[in-house]
Amino acid sequence: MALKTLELDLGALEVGALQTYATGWYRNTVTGQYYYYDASTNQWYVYTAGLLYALGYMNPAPKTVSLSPGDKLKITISFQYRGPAITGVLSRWAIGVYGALGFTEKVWATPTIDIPANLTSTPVTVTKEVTLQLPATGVGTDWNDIYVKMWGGTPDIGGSEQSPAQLFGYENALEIIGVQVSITDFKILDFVKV
Amino acid sequence: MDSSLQVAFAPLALDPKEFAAGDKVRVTASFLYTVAADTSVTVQAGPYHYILSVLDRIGASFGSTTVSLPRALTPTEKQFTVDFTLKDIAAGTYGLLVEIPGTDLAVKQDDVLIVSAAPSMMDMIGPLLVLGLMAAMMGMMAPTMQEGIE
Repeated sequence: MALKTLELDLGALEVGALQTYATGWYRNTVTGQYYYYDASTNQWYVYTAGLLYALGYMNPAPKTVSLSPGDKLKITISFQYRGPAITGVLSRWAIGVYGALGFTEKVWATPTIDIPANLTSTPVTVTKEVTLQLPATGVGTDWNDIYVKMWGGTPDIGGSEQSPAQLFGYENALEIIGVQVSITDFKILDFVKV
Repeated sequence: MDSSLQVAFAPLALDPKEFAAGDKVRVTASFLYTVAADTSVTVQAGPYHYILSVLDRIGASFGSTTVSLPRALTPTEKQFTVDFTLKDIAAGTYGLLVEIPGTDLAVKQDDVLIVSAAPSMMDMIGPLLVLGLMAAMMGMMAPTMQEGIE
């Protein structure tokens, strides 16, 4: 059972009025990913291949991780944070199928997250990691999407499980391999009368 | 990319062998496989020939077996045997085909099964008929010979 890793960059975690960003460029010090924030529209953009893309619910995966049934996937999220300490932020991490009917979770975990205080004027990067394991059987090749959502906590970052304060995912982040038998080097060795 | 079934027609060096119709043939074959969870495949084997350049299986002579494939994430060799009986087959030379039905996975070699016709009923009972006829004739001649002795 192999362990693979995947990083999700949530950009910035907003905590109501406690969190303010100026329009401009930001860089995640963990992943090195650049973002642009437009304060007038409260919209973050990710900079990829020379273009800016608005950060939405599901986004193109920056890389693809190959997983076989039974393998483990360590997901690391990171985000920029400035504000008071927050304890008990609820979160849900899932591998599943994203399609016309939304995201169908197949494997998930629901850890709580404590965010340390950062009362300076400079956002710091907060990271959290969770390991999910695919079952040994019954895995579909379309289990290739992933998302993380966060809500609640004390003080409350807002949102709920149905309408989380933070929701971010990657489409086609996983490649499920080994579900079908692969056969090569087929040979007849001998044949005899019995 | 995800694993997919692949065709592998490997060059073979099997020597032709002679069989008679009705003989049971055991084929030993192998392949390399990978799969993430325990599974199995059905493999069938039998003779074939060509009709107008189209491969024609002698279906009545085909046999099959189920091959278990334990989880293997690296290419792993699987060796197995398939038995089939040469039934409803005319005398001639045939190829040997081993395949996984429902896929394009197959391996074959032309002209390695030299099949002779099964002995006919007359072939089997002919000598007995001759012996019986001779015995009957001896029986008919016996009284005459006894009279000659007297």
